Amino acid sequence: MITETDLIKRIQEFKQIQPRKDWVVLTKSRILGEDRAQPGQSFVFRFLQNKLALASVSTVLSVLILFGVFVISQSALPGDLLYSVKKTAERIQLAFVPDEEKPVRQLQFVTNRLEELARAAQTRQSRDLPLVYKEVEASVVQAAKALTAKASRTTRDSNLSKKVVVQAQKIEEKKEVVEQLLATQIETKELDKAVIPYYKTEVAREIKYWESRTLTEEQQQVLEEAKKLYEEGDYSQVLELLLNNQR
Amino acid sequence: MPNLRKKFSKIYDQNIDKIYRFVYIKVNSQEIAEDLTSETFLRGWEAFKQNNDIENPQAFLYQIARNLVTDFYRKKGQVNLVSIDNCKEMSDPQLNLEKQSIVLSDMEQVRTALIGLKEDYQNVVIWHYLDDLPVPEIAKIMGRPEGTVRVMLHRALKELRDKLSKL
Repeated sequence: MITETDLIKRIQEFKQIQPRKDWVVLTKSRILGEDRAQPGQSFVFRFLQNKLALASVSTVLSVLILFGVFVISQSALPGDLLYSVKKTAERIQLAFVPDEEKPVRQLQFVTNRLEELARAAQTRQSRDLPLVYKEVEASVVQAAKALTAKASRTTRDSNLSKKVVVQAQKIEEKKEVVEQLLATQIETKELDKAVIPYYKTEVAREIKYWESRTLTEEQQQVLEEAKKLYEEGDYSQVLELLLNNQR
Repeated sequence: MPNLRKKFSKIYDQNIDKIYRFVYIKVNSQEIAEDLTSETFLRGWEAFKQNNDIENPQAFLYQIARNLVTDFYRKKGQVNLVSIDNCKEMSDPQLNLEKQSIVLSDMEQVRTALIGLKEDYQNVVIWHYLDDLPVPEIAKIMGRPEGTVRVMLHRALKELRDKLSKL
């Protein structure tokens, strides 16, 4: 007869019986799988939660994408796919600018168009330039209209006048660069026509303002010089002189 | 819920091998053992979710496994199903052991003899000698006094020795 010790040894051989490892893992994951829903939450609630989360993520993504497109569009030239995005962004900017600042912004757009013309002249074939040039012309017309509208206002705004003077100077500088690149003159008559009356009006307003104040001897000399330049028709110089020396 | 899942995951890891072995010895089929074992833990998990303060999860799982094996045999008419992939598996524990001893391995002889015992005797042998559960633990699982469990162990081993000596 088998001894108790031997029997126990033979019984303990059953310790070799073990489940398949992959079955163990699979069964565990099947039994303890994530709950699909929290108790008490209705299907509608869960759907809406997910919908809101989805909407939030979509909104953030949309904003990021739009921002990315906006950034890329800044280097676009007329004829490029994203150029319309750039122009739309400028129109949106203009819509949010106060009325009195609109001429300044329009003059900035003229500078932008001239920069585009300079880049196009450096990088593109000549057949693309007419399209770019048309954009310059269009921006000049818009700026001129805005300036003409502001020239009719009655209140003095030296800050605004300064900004207009600065932008006008930038346009002149950019125009010179482009004319050298293209070896041709850039037509900005429309703008010149609008700028001169604007300057004339603003200069007259400034001179009147200066005359109404008590001036120091130095300021008196500046005013005298300004009046001389005004007589000579050099309105931009007069404006610059008076705006840079005002109290 | 993640906390409960973590707790039960630990219980699963600690008991899966034992429960599987316990069931396999009784049903002698990998497929059926896997089915009944996974059902054991599934029911265990459901119960755990309702009441995560089960005093003795191991005993609880063994109880479920025992009931499932009992139900299995009740449905199958006390006949062991043999997997056709495993020709070593026995068909009926009541068959003449002498005739079968020629082809059976030692392990199979022991298994056949073991499942020929009363269910309580089978269980105490498996729990004590395979799962290394101490007598007090087995007493808790069975809801019997420790003395009774010791007597059962002694009698179970004697019966096994008797059965195997006839081979």
